[in-house]
Amino acid sequence: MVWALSSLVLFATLGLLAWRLDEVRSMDIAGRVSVALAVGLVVVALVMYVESALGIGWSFATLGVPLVALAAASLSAVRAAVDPPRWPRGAAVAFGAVTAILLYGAGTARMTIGDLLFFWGPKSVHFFHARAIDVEFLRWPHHYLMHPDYPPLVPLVWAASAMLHGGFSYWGAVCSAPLLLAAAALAFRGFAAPVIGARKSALFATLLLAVTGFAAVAGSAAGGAEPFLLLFEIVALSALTFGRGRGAVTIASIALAGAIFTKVEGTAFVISVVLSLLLVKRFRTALVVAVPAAALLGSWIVFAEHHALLDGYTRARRSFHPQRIGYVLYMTAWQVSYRIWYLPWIAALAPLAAGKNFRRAALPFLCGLASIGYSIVFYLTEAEPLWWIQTSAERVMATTLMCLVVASAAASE
Amino acid sequence: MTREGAGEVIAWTAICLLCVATVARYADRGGPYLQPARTVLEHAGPEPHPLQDALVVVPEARALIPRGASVAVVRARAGQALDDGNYLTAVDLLPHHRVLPAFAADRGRAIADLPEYVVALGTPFDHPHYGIVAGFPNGWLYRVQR
Repeated sequence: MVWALSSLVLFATLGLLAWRLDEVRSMDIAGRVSVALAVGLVVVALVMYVESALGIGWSFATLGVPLVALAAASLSAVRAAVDPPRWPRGAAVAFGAVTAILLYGAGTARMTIGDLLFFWGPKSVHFFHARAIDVEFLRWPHHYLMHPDYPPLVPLVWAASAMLHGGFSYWGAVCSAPLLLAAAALAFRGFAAPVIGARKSALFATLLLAVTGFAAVAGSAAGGAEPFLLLFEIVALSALTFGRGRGAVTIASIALAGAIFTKVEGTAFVISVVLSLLLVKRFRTALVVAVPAAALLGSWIVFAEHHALLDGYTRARRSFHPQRIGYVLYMTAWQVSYRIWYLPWIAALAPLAAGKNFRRAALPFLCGLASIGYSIVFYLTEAEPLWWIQTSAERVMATTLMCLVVASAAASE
Repeated sequence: MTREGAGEVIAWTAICLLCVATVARYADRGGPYLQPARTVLEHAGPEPHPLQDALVVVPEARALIPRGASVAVVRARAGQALDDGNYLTAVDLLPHHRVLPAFAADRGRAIADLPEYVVALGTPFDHPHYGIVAGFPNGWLYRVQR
C-alpha cells in the first residue's frame, strides 16, 4: 500500500502543471490532485518511452534529474485554488466507505487479475532490471503471450515505481487499483461540480466509484491496466462533458493520449470520443483531442515495427465472423448481467430517467454506445469468442458503465 | 417528491445495493476474511488459483538457485512436465535467471539440454536425471545430475 500510495503521490507531483488551468484551479484539492495524477502518469511514461526509443538507459541522471526538475517546475507553477466547492459531509462519508470496501478487496487479494502474473508484472520487472523497454525480452518467442506490441504505459509506470522503491511490489500494483478508481471519481467530481453543483456532483462521484469498483471486483481488474484506463477515460470524458474551455480540452487531450498508451481498447475509446464529438458538432475539439493521441499511437506503432514487435495492431487483417453476431450478443448480454440482474446497468442508467438536460448528456451517452459496439466487434474477430467474453466482458464493460454514469450526471444539470 | 429528489434517491439506493453486491462477491471468493493473504491471488476465485503454488514456492526456491542458472517451473503429471501457465509467472519471479518453458525438462530431451534446476509444484518430479535439492510446502527444487 505504501509502495502504491507513495508512487502515485510522486507521479501526481509531475502533473501539477495542470493546476495552472482555470478548470483545474476551480476544483477542490482532491479533484486537482487526481487530475495531476492522470497528467503525471502520462508524463512519466512519455519521458521513459522517449529515452528508451533514443537508446538512453534509465538512471538517476537520465530519468531522476529530468523528472525532479519537472516536478520542481510544476510545484513553482502551483496557483491558489479559486473557490472550490466543498464535499457535503454525508457524501464524503459514503465516498470514503466505498473506497474502504474496495481497498479491503484489493488488500485481501479478492480482486486480483491473473494477467498481473502473466504479463503486466513480468514486463514491469524486466523493464526495471533492463532500465529500458526491453525489446529483446518482448521479442523472445516464448514471451509471445505477453503481447509484445501492447501499449507500454502500465509497465513503464510500474518500472518507475520499482526504481523509486528498489523493487517491484505485486501488492503495490494490486492496491493501486482502488486508489486509481477513487482518483478517477474525484477528478470527475472536480469537473462536474461547477455545472451540476457540489451536492449532486458528490453523489454521482460516489455512484461512479461504486459502479466502476463493482465492475473491477466482478471482472478481477486489480493489478491490470483497467484502473489506469478508467482513470484516463473518466478524466477525458468528464473534462469534455462538463468543461468547455481550453483547459478542459487540454486535460482531455492528455488523458486520451494516456488511454491510447495504456491498452488497445484505449484506441477504440479515443475513436469513440472523436466520433461522438463529431456527432454533437464539436468539430474543432474532436481534432484537438485526436491529434496528440494519434501521434503517440503512431510513434508506438513505428517503434514496434522497427523492433519487429508488431502483432496486435494488425488485428484488422484478421478474420471477421459477422455470422456469429447473435451468439456474441446473447453471450455478452448474459455475461454483463454480472449475475445480479444487471444492477450496475440499472444503477448507471436509472438516474438518467430523472434527468433534464439531455443535450449535455449526449456526448457520454454516445461514447457509451460506441464502447459497446467496439467490444462486440472485437469478439466477432475471434472464431471462438466464448472464452474472451467470459474472461473480459465484465471488465471491459466498466468503460460503458462509467460513460452512462457520466451521462446521468450531465442530464441532472 | 420532485423529479430531482427521485433521481437522488435512486442514486443513493443504487450505491447501497452495489456495496452489498461487492461485499457478496468478496464472500463468494472464500475466507478467511481478516487474515492477511499469503499471495496476491489467494482469494482471486472460489477455487485456488492455478498460479498460487508458484507464487508461494518459487520465491522460496529462488534463494537456492544461483543467478544466471537455467530453471523450469513445472507441474508434474503422469511423468510429464506441464506448464499450466507457470512459465510466464516464473519469468516474472526469476528475473535474474534463464527461465525455460516446462517442456525443456521433458524426459525425452538430451541431458545436456535439460535446465539446471527444476521447481516442481504440487507433486514430486520423477525424472532420472534430477536429484532433489530442497522441499517446501507444496513444492520441490531439483538439480540436474550430469
